[in-house]
Formats: sequence, C-alpha cells, structure tokens
Amino acid sequence: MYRLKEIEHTADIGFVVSADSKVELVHGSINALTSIMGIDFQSQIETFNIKENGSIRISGEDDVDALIQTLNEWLYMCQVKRQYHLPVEIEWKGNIIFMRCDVYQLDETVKIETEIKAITYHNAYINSPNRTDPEWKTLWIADI
Amino acid sequence: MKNTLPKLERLDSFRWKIPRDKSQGMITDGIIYSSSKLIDAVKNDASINQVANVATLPGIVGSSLAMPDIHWGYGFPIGGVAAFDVENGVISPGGVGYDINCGVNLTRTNLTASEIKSRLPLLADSLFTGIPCGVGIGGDIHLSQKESRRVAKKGAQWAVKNGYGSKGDLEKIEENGCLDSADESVPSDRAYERGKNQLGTLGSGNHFIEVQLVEKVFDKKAAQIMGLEEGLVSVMVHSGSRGFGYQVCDEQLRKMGQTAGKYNISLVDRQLACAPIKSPEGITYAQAMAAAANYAWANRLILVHRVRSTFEQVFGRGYSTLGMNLVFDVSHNIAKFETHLVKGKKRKLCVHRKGATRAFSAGDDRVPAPYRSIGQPVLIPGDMGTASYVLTGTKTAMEQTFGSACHGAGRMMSRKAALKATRGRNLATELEKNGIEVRSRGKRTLGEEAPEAYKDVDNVVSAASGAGITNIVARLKPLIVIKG
Repeated sequence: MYRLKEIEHTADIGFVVSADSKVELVHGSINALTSIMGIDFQSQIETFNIKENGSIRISGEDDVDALIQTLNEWLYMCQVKRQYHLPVEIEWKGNIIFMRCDVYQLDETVKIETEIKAITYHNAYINSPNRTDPEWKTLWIADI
Repeated sequence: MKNTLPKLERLDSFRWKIPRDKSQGMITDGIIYSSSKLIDAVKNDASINQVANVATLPGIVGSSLAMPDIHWGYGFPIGGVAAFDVENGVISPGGVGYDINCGVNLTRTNLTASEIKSRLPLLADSLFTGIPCGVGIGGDIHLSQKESRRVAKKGAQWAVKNGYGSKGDLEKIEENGCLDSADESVPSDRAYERGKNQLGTLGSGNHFIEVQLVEKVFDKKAAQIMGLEEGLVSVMVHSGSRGFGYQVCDEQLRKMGQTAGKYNISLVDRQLACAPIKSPEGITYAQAMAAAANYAWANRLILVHRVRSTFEQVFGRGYSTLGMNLVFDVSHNIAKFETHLVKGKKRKLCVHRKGATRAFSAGDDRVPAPYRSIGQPVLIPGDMGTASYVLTGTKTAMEQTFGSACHGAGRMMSRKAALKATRGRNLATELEKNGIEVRSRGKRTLGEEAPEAYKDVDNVVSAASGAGITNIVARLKPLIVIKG
C-alpha cells in the first residue's frame, strides 16, 4: 500500500510517496510518474499491443540514488522506447533495485500529455519508519 | 542549507542580500535582484535557500546572484547566476539544467498588424500544423548517427550549411551558434537516440512560438538597429536541446554525484553535483554540455526556418521580401567561459546562467558587431496573455552580474495551482477575446501556462532596468501563441 501527495513546487512537479514498505515506494513513484505524464494506464491496458517480460536493474550509490536512477531508467523506457514497464516484482537489496516487469508497447493512441525531462536529486530523500512516522517515505521532484 | 529562510537584508530599491552564513557553509553572500512588488513571491518558495546553497560551492567569485524572475528550481534557482574561477572553481550541471541551452530568438518582419489581422487564424493554423510540437512529436529531419554528431559539433553552422538559415543569421546568435569546445564523441548513444528525430521540433511545456506586435518602443536608436518599429510584427521562438540535452545532463550529473567526494566537495544539495573545472569530469561535462548547446542552436535556427517558410506560404512572398531577419538568439541555460573584470583585475571565469540571459554592454567586443554600439539584445518572454520585452545589456550588468540579466517573467504558481485556478475556464477563448489566437497540443498545457501562473513581466523588467542591469528597448504584445 502507498499514498501519493503532490507537493507545491513553483517550476516543476514533486511528490511525497508514503508506503508500508520500501519496494512500495517504487510502485508508488511509478504510478505518480504515470499520473504526471497523463497516461491512463489502468483503463487503457487492454488496448496496448505487445506484452513481454522485461526487467530494470539499477545499482546506485545509496538508496536515494538507486531510486532516482530507477525512475529515470523507467522514464527513458516509457517516453523514448514507449515501453510501459509494469513492475510485477521488485527487489531492493542494499543499493540495488531489481524490477521484473510486464512490458507493454504503447501504441500511437496512447498520448503522453506531459513530458518529464528527468527526476532530480533536489531535496530528494528516503526516510525509514521511526517512532513518529511508521511509514516509509520518499520525496522527489520531476523536471518538467 | 536548512529549510529555514535565510536572512534577507535590503541593500537598495532593487537588491536584497543574503549575508554569508559560515555555519551553513556559505563562502560568499547571495544577492537577489528584485523589487518590493516581487520579493514577497520569492519568500514563498525555496529559491532563497537555493541562492544560499550556490554560495557554498568551491571557487565561487563574487556573490551568488539571482535575477528578478527568480523562482524555485532544482539545484540552482531559476534566475540564478554564479561565476567560478577556472583555476580553483567548479562546473555544475545543476547550474545549467536538463534543457541545456534552452533559449529564445526573435525574428522581425516588415508586416504590420493590419496586414496580418485577417490572416491571423490561418497563420496560427499553418504554424501549428507546419511546425512539429508537443510531447513525443518527432520532426521530419532524420539523421544518421554520423550526421547527428556533426550537428553536435557545428550547431547552427550545420543548420545553415544544410539550408536552414543564412550565414547572416549566424552573427545574430550568441557564439555564432557554435561552441568550439564541443566534443561530439562524449554524449552517449542514448543521448543521440533521445535527440533523434527531434531536431527542428518545438517540444512541450513552456516552449512556444509567438507572433507578436511591437507595441511600444522605448529606445528608438536600439530598436532601429534591431529593425523593430512600433506596429510591426515579430516572431519569438522558445526551445532548447530537447531529449539530447536532457540525457547529457542526466548522465553527467550522475557521474559528478559519484565523484564529488573524490575532490572533497561537500554538497548541501545533490543536484548541485559538480567537479573542478580542470578535472577530467569537469572537462568532460563542459565538452558534452557544449555539444548539447550546439544541438539547441541548430534546433532553434531550424525552427526559425520553418516559421519563415510558413509566412512565405501564408503571405505569398519570400522571407527576404517580408524582411524576416533574425534579431537575436539568446541562451538562458548555459555555462560559459568568459573573462570579466573582478575588483579591477581580469579573471577567466566559468559563468553559469540558469534561467538567466547574457547581457553584455555596449562596446564589449564579444557583442556581435551589429549591436556593439547598443549592447547585447536580451529577450524576455512574458506569459502568453501579457507581453514580452526586448532589452539590452549595460555597464552596470558588467560590473555587478557578470553581464547577466533575467530570462522571462518567472513562474509564481505551481502547475497544480495554475490548473486549479483555471478549472472550468476556457483560456483559449479568453485569450481570443483579447485578440490572441492560441493553438495548443496538450490538454493541460494552457492551464499550466496560464497568464496568472507567472509574475507580471512589466514588474520583472522594471526591476531589472531599475537596478540598471538592462535598458528597455521594446514591449511586444502576443498575437498568436503556439504551444506544444
């Protein structure tokens, strides 16, 4: 389970993702990106063309770097290759994130409303649960 | 830097100082150019902290500066200017941004408002259909990998050589549209892949093409030299290096984030990742950034070519007959190696301008010959419902801001807030009632880019000219707005 909260940012779009687990932060972040881009994935999934298996594996310097790099790789696949990687299994061990995905080829009918240049490191964090906050939390800002 | 608001001291009517706070790692002060009308908006976001953050970077010369259109970005604030000594300073992709060499150009015409009035809808439709714009919309220029590398090496010169512009255009572009320091072999295959088929495309977001009316001339001599007259029509183009630049920035930023520790650079914000200018990482970034800058100059000149072609079709006359000369092309996301006078001594610096425009003064031999008597033209796009401005650089800018000024109106509202504020309204109709034809590809674009989302461009320009860093030449009113 995760929750998304868009933050007020003057130039770009940022999200705080709260989740029960670390891997849910990745699921939540990918859904936030889908929402920013204006892709209605759930209602259009039946219309997408090819489904195949794929994966994304990122080794980062630390947790934040691993997450930001994973999201940027996911964006590249989606916006440039037009392949929607729907994670079916996510492993996050140390600074390595591995996602096994169903890959949907987005056809011409799927319009990306908003282009995301990249996910930035500005103010990005990942907080583990603590006494005052029992949830995992991450914040990142997307450059639009 | 903590998220508490740094202390702000008013220096004069148009400048605020963030005093150096050693406990926060600041090496120097921050200076924000603003006005009493604008400064409150700045206090409502994190941009003041960002000015202070930049002041912590090694080798910074003078103050960490922000122009009157300052607002919250990532890494540097938008509107940020910082210069670093080439011997002991750093270069930072966060001081340039993802859209490397995003910028603006202006083309004048001989056409009057009354001549184009009856053809405004046709012209708007023709520009909208004739110029690729919007997310994921590719162009019709399909280049081999080898030819793409030539674009990255030669910039606007490649465009001219391939029929997209004339040699005369080149002298009206900063650096003649090409940074020789570009190494086209540095950007990755993925960067070339992201830029593939995007040359000659506008993009989305705040990028635009506007047909504008020269509504008021403030400086007749400068306007005459630029070919601008009250009542004449001009065209402004805002775009950048597209996916090519985004990928270059992403990759280089990641590399620098990994190596900051190697050079004992302590970062208060990871987006400020940087490397010494003379380090292998610094040199590589500068070469890759220059390649992306060249791509952007080629892209904008090709867009001008498409605008000229569209005018030719609509008005049945050649673009030379229509007087469609490029006035100037400015970069507003770039780092450049420039010599400046600092405390009476000439120093070679790497000047980062992120959402800021070069504004060199009259007499500076780096200003293209046609404008050397008036100073470099500075193009300030405003919001799509109000106005844009043409300014020139000044001696004060040379003395205080490393020859820099603002780059636009500057956002004041988040995209979310702008969409909320415009919900239920038909912005296209509202603008049309004010005589502005709007064409937009994206459903959300108009709402996100609503006029009220931006600061009042008149106030921003007044603050810049009040501070003495620019002269006002002309105010341009939008007639047609094309958005991606």
